[in-house]
Amino acid sequence: MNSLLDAQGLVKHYQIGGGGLFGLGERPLLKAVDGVSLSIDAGETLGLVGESGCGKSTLGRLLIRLLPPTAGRVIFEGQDLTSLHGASLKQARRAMGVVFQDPFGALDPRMTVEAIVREPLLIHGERADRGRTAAMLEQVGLPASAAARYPHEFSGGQRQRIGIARALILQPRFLVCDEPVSALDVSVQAGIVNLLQDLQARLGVAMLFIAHDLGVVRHISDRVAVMYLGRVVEQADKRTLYARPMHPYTQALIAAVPALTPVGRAERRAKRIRVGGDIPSAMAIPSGCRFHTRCPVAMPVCRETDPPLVEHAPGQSVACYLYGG
Amino acid sequence: MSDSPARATIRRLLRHRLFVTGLALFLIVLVLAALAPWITTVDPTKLSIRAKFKPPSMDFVFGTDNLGRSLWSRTVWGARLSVEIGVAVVVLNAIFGTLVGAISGYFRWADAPLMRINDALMAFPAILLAIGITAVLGPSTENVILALAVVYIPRTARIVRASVLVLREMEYVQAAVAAGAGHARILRTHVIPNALAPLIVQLSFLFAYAVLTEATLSFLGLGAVPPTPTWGNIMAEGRQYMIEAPWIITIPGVLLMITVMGLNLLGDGLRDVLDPRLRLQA
Amino acid sequence: MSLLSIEHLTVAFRSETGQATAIEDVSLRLEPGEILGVVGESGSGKSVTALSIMGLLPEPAARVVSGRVVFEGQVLTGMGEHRLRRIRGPGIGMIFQEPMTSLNPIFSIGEQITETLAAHGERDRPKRRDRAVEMLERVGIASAARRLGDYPHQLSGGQRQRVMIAMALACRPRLLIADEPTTALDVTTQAGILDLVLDLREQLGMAVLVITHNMGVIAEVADRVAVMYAGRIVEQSPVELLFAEPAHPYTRALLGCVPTLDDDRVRLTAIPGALPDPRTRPAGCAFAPRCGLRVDACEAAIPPLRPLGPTHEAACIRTCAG
Repeated sequence: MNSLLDAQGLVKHYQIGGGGLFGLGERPLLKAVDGVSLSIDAGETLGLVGESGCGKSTLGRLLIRLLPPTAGRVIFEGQDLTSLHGASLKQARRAMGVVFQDPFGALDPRMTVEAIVREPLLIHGERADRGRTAAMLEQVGLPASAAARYPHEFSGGQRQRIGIARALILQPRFLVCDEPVSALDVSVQAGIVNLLQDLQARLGVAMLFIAHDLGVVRHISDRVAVMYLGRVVEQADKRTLYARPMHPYTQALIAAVPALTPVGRAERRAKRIRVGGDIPSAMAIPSGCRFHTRCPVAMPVCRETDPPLVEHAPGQSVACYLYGG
Repeated sequence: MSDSPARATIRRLLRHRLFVTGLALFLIVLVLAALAPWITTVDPTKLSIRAKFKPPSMDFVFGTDNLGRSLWSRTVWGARLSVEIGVAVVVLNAIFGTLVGAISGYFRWADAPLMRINDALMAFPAILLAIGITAVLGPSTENVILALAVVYIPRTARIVRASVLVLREMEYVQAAVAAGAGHARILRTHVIPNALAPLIVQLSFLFAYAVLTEATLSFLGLGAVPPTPTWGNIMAEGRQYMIEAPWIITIPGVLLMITVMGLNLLGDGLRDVLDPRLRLQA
Repeated sequence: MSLLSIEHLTVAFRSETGQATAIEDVSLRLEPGEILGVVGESGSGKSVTALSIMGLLPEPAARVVSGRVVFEGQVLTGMGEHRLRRIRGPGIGMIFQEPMTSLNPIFSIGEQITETLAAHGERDRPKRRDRAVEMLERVGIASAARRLGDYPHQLSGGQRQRVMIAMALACRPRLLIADEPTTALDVTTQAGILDLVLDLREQLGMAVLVITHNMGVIAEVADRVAVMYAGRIVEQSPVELLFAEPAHPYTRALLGCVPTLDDDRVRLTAIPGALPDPRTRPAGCAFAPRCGLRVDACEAAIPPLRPLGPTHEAACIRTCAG
């Protein structure tokens, strides 16, 4: 395989609570990520969508080993990240970056912008002179005068630019963007999305773009994976996925996005595919297909066995019995 | 020139009325303590039976005690001892409280054992534990410092741990992990500096507790050995002559009150400015 | 007579660092049964507008500087708390963005709904219970009678928002104010809540004021739209007209910067710059520093709202010439 990153059977379970006074009681298991395999090629953008609590953020953190998986492996440039420790892990981290959602919590309030952007260089004992950080700030669209200032002096969008500068200064080959625009005002979002696209084109970095906004994901991604309750239920290149979604969950998700026009809204409402109820708890995942409790077209088999993710059309995989076993 | 968070904090502190009042009161005591060798002319332990029970006058500003010793000299040197003990306890707490709290909050494996020891120590009432320790080790200045450190370090560690538990999950800490930073670097550059605000608030209150508990211990005869003057032992001796020579017990008592009140106001001011969240809990 | 009219309302906030105008000269009208959408980003003043209708501004930090709010002929601004309380509930109901913090965690949802009914004079206990069940059924909570004893933490985010709506509807208000009602929810849940709002308007004939930052939500539910920027209304029109012929450059930019599901542009049209700080707003048009059509005159004076047609008005000297 030639992909940059390969995740195989990733699982992340959490034990919740102390399990009674002496830890003897049964402790409930939260299955945040429950068997995910995917791959990302060099320079491509994989969009990851799903509703809150589906495990998309946890998956992003597993891929760059911010969290150790309960089971499964992450192969990055031929190396098994899950087996690395100490110096070799640190070396592997050079090639990976991360951008977070919250533009307030992502920057150390006591550090100047220059110190924040320079930190990864210092960690790896690299030359960390003014020129290098200034060049990076310029690339993310911040003035050179920003270097000496502190995070609280910047707006949300500018803070996100600082976070992007920090993530890219080591010239990583893989970048995880965890909801990078969801906390921003709409008028500021587009600027950050454009910046990420430009930088990606220039630097050739591969991206995992996590978001719940299907429009933004469609805009920035090459391929899109849809997650539901800890599992990828459908994956395809973006045109196929949005034009011909196969999984009933993907269909409902796309149908629920409001269109940006009031024209024909009554008809849209009348024929929209609806899912019943709410997403079940990750501590009580339904048997069989995990979507069957809300699925408008569930069949008896869906209640009993868990459908595997199978490639049904070239480049389009889906985990659903509607398309055969 | 950009406004650093530290500079902005200092500016807000100097505009805070409680903080400035507290600081002024505490500075009175600090200045007395610092200048003790120069502003006292009489040896605080020098006896002068002929001059006993002199009320405050031009010759003896604060009067004299039952043995004719200058109370001005004794309370000023007592202030010096109180401040020395306060500083020592605060420094020990800052070092070991931060160490225990940071390790406990940052490393999951260390949390349970460290916190159980902490809880065990905190289960004793502070003053009883301090009395117990000094009673076993014997009365001396060093032992008082040691006892106060043992009593208060668990409380400081709890506060540091609480901040570290929050900071550990901050996204800027996660970003540093993702960039390859090791534990030492993360603790040093991100976690501990950001945990300082609540710690500084705690230490200013701790200074007051230390001075107060030291006075209690030496009042009970468990502090520095007489004739070394401390506010506590001056008051203990003065207690017997409360009717005929009320100034002996009143003067160190008032100074003790000024110190504790000053530090508490200072701490409240610091808390308002550094850590507004705590106001709700207090 | 309009159900609600806000007339030239200006609200200011005092803080450690000085005074800031939250909203300035805001005028809105709402007819019975109408859904008015107010759209804006952070600092636009949309939530302050909602709170000032209800008399819920955080006093003494905020105060109404000038203008008034009239609801069914009664002037709400300056009205005493006691009289206002009788209008909240049966007159105007309100739901907020975060349903978890708006519900009291130590009471069951049944208790909270019946409590509201009791506060507004329903004496009969079984009747209150029946009414609570009816409201929960109406907002789409399945087996409502059995759910009365549930506590807020036992419900999902979408269900909590439904309960909030049920509470607001319990007294059959003539006006429902919904402040970012779906922002904390997932898209599939959002669609359900928006359907519910439309159904309720249909069945009960109540008017709704929807406050949101999401143009998509506006396109789904609103009859008329007011666009706010930096404390002022910059454009107001029926919803079809606003999306078809947006007049203010800010409205146009807002519609251009959101990627939709059938949009194949390579680049999004970004709006440069950031939202203005309410303490240091520009002297002229607040949008001028970010506007592609800016000329010197834009910075000279705040442009007033000018009519573009019988139902359409916008505040821009460039696009509303004449």
